[in-house]
Amino acid sequence: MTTTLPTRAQALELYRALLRSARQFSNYNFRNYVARRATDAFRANQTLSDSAARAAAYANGLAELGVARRQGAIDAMYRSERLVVEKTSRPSGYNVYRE
Amino acid sequence: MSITLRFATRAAAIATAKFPRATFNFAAAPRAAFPSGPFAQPRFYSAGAAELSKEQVQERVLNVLRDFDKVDASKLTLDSHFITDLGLDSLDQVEITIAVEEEFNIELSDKDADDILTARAAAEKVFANKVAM
Repeated sequence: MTTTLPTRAQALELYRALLRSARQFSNYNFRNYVARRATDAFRANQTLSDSAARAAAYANGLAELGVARRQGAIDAMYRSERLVVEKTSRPSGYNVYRE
Repeated sequence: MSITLRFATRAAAIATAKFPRATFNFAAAPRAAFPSGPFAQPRFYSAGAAELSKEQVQERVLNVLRDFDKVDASKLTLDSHFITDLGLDSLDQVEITIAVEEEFNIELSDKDADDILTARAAAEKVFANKVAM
């Protein structure tokens, strides 16, 4: 585990990577959980001032990113039908090109 | 004419007939694909996805922003700055770029994503991306 203090850009990069890793989950619940978990954690730690706590939160985020990527890759291998709640039609054609 | 004679004549005719060798006239082929005349059936081909226009991209980016619950839709314009005009922070900005990526099924580079601070900038990055749809 790294204990280096993240820069602002690194923290945002981690947030972006976490939100992107959420996308690869085929399961609706997992997909939304990962994104929601990332959002909640970043909001909660947004105002952390203690550098040790910030470094620990960043290291934790990196570890979670690894978990999300691995689980997302596995989840993407076992696709199932989309849920009813996912089958929304947006006027802009959001879902048109996705199965 | 007796039956046997008829068969014999036919056999002789077949033996002497010259069958044209099967050739494919490439020059004539395209005309066959587009028949003309009163009973011609038009053949429909897939035209592929239509290219997005700049206006379409901008409208869809604005829709993404309107759906974002922290954005005040009344303040939203193409040039309103996310942080100074709309009162968002850098985490919101990341969320917006991710939402834009999902809307157009693309992945922006981190540098491009960092530069997106107005709807117009987002639309330009998307428009420059050739696989956006």
